[in-house]
Amino acid sequence: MTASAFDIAAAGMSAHRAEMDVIAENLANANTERTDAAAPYREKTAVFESPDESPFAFALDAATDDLDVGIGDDGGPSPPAGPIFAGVAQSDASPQYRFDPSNPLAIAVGPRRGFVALPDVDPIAQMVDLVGAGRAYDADVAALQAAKQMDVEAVEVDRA
Amino acid sequence: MADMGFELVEQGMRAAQDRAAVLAADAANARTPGFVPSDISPGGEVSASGIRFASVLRPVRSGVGGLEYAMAATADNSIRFRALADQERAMLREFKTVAENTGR
Repeated sequence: MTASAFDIAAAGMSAHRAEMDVIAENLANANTERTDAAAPYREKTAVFESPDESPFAFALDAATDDLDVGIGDDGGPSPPAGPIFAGVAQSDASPQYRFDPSNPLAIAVGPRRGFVALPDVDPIAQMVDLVGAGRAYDADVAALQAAKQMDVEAVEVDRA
Repeated sequence: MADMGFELVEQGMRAAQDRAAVLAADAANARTPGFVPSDISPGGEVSASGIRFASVLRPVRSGVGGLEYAMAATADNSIRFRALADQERAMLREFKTVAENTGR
């Protein structure tokens, strides 16, 4: 049994909403100099994975592009389902440093004395990702509405 | 003969519903790294029992972005489904008319 368009679109909406939550957290913490880990905030990235590996026939088809593969519940390969929000990956990039000796969080000793460690979050890149995630969410909504409209029309045929 | 017409239209509608699921997966996975978008190409096949729809799942190799392709193909698929539903409704109306006239 293949997943319905409703399930797939719902999985996509859920995943993209989670991605937007992660981006919002990054933007909100773009200036957080100290976290519970006694270090500046580190950028987080939403990680997605496809729920099922492509079946061999479909992978072969993708590689050769000339092999016809039937679709359906009778043994043919199934289309992939919606993405799964696999978790959040934390950036391991070095923090940015700004010279601010009056800041109570400034480094007291060493070559970076007087500098404050800042998060490695790039707000512009985050905003671009936010727009992309929003567009993907909109596409999921459109797919859901199209599937709903098709079901409504199928019911109307029955009424004819 | 009329049964075959209904069956063909219903097969087409079923194929459109399958395609909607594939395109929903394309849109949902547009930001999943390594995901290869796919689409169903509708086609016909002649078998011993007559003509039937033979849908084929293929990877998308267009230059258009995955999300844009999924949106455009979803719109196209909705129109095809609506046309098939209209066709089925028209056939049912014809059946009804014939049945009513036969009863007179």
